[in-house]
Amino acid sequence: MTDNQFDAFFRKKLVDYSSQVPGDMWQRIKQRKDKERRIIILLALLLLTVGGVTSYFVFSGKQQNKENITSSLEQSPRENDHFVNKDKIDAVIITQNDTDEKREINLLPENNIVVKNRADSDQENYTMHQNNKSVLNKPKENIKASNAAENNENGIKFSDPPLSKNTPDSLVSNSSSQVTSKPNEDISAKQVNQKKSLLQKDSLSKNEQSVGTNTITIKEPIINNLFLEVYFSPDIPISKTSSSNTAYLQHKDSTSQMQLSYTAGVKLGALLGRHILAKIGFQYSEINEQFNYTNENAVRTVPVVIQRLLADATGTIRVVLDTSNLMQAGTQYKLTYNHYKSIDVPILIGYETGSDRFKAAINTGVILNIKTSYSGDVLDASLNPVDIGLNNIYKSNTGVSLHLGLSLATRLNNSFQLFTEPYIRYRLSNMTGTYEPFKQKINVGGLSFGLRYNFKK
Amino acid sequence: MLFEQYAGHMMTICLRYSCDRPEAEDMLQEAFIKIFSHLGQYKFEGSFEGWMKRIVVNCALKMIQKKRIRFSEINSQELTGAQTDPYALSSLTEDELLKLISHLPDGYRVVFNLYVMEGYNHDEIAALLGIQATTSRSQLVKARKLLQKQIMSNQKIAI
Repeated sequence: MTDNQFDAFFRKKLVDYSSQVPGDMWQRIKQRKDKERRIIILLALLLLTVGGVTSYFVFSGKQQNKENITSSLEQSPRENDHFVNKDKIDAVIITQNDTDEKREINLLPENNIVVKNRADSDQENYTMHQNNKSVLNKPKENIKASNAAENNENGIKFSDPPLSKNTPDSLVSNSSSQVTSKPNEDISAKQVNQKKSLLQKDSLSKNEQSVGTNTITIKEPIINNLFLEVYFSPDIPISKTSSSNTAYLQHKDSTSQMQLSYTAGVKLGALLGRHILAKIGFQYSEINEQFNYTNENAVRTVPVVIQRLLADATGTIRVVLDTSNLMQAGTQYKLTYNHYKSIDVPILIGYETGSDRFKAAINTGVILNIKTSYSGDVLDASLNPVDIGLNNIYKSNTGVSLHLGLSLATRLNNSFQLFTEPYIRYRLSNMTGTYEPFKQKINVGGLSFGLRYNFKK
Repeated sequence: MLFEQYAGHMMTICLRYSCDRPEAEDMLQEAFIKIFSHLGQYKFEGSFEGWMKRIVVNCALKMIQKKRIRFSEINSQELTGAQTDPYALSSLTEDELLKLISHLPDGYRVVFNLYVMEGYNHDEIAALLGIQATTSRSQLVKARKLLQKQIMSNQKIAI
């Protein structure tokens, strides 16, 4: 036989030959694809989050530190915005001179208003319109606020002064302008100075304030803010199974497919200082799994009872029961949805930074499992499906997990913030009992959405 | 379904390139994952089965190359012997032939498969495996001789 004939023989025999494929090969391929898809989704989420946080810090500018507040005065009386009213109502535009110079406010008989600033060259004055409440609540205050609507009816119109260059938004409220109602009365500079302290407290940053070259340091409380968070998260569970019995492991993997899961919870938190967050709470999580079992060589025994009517020797009809067992061979299918339900206590710390409107935080900590319950089916050592709940295969307390997340929050109003947090929850110990044929950990990646309520406005 | 229709043929290819069944199953798994990932890249040039076969062969080669194929030179004097009896050859089943191929050393096996089954010439094999064309030729010759020797010894045992 020549070499060519030898080669041709092998080629002819094997080119179209179809070998036997393991029955669970398709399941294995599917599981790998699902695993890869989950990893891609998690990576994409992580990239999006990192990209979002990076973009925010790059494009929002350096707006983190509000310790030194500087602004320039751009206020000048807008006489053309005022028109004369027959009623003698005095209007006061309260200004704050940050060099502490006394200000004289002249009220003209025709109710035109002129604000004279002694230090014309002063660059750091604030102009503001103050909220009713903050003025009225001060007992020594001689200035009464009146209704803006009433003032408008009376024909006094004030336009909001133009914002000075560095005037924080908080200094200029959108509330209606205030009008004094004490007719023909000069307001002394002393009262204006009293006002300044009120304005400082109400309007300026809660942290250090610098007024001109003077720096006022307000000592911060340890707990800056308390808040309550309510959240919900769709989760992607990632199961990690190991066993010394490779045949068992192969079958186990082929029957199991993790499904979309979820976590919901509530946390109480505190902002310590300016950046440190501490949170504790309760959460409920449910991990879902599809158990798909096929046994092509299943045999079941079916008892068969045959009832016959026989006549005995005397002619009496008697009922005779014949019991036999019928063996049936076939394929057994079992599809079950397993649920692993946990109640946990998350204890987290975080580092938060950002502006008043947007905040980003890195959170880490531990999740302590209180109780876990199970329902569904799993393969036992004999490769038969058994009920998880009845056989105590899994531990009722699965121990400690580690949490790592990156949260982004945006302020909705003074009380509420909306936040989202992609996170990873990594289990430290196995979920299965010591004597089970396999060890299993289910780690979770999720994206939580929630609402935060700040107790301190 | 795609898998059901072609898995058997692809498994044969994997059995030819692997040294045992578990390795062949791993190869098949990797290959089908790649096939499904790159399904959109099939441009309807040539047969679909041929396209799949190329992916399976490439996967197999990658997995084998991870093991660092050794193109060992078995003492050629040991391989001299009588030519294979055609009758002995024809009595062998496909599974037996696959087993014989899987027992070859890695280098012999890869070159034998690429030349005899896939139809590559020695220059192409050399480029694919990063070896010399002369090495490819000698590996093929030795692979044939080893297979013949194995068939003859099995025949003797059978008799």
